[in-house]
Amino acid sequence: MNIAFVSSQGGHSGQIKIIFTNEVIGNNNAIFITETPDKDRKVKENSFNGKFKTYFFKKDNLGFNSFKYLIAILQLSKIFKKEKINLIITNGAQLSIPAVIAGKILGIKTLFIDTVIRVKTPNWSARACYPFSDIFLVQHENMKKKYGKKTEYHGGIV
Amino acid sequence: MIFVTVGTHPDQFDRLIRKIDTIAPKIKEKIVIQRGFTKYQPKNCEYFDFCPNLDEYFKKARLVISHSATSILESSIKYKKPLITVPRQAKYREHINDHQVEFAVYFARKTGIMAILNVKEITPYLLKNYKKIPKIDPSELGRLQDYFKSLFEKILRELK
Repeated sequence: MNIAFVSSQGGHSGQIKIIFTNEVIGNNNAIFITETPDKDRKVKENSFNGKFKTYFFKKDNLGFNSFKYLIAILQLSKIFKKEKINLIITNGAQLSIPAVIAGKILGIKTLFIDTVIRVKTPNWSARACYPFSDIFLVQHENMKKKYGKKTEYHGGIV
Repeated sequence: MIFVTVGTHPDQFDRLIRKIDTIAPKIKEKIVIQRGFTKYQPKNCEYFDFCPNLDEYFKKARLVISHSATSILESSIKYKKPLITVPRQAKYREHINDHQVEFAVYFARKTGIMAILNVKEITPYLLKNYKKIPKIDPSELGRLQDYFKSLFEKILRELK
């Protein structure tokens, strides 16, 4: 199976690295899509844990500009098709919104996992992703009520 | 060595760094500060803005003082050093909202370390005697990882 991790820089990527160790990923293939403040978008081998092909998106404030989202959806769809992705796993922030929409359009299974940082209050990228994700996970038991019925809790980093 | 790190968040964290720098003369130990986008220039400590890899500093540290971002998870799982966390707060324009306060309080309660909201509590005495290493219960993370392992197997079966 081919898995795409979509996660912005810093804490978001950090959490993906903590959860998805080599043992968890097993024999599946994985690619990593992240953001970089660099101007030119690059494809790099061996970036995520020194193991997976990594695509960089320009770090950009998508905000409420629907045109920017549309472009991101098209670019992500192209990558998902090229890499024959079967499962999209994303944990925010902004880039996860076009990612789950692209997944929905292409009929690829999408999973959103909320950040461990949010202990009491929901965050907006998670809320925006909720309607488009097939599986929606939170990392704290009490966060289950905060988003909607399909929210699942199966443990968290701490 | 005491290592103070405030990450790459684009706001300043003057409040913490100024406090550390003020009490530094009363502490004999060496203090190294990663100050990020903070404008205040420490006078009594060694400092740098950014570094692609902080591993060496974490390894050498006797005590780590950090803002309350996800990086504290990585450092506590990997290095197991005594840790004090000081969350960035929106009212001081250190972050866009108070999610670090929320996380710091939770993390401190869960792992037994100290979260400091008011920097007045940072004293030379505290830094000299502090020994609390975060205790992370691996079963929570293990459960989440097991969930993903079985999910991957399930999807693989569906694909066949």
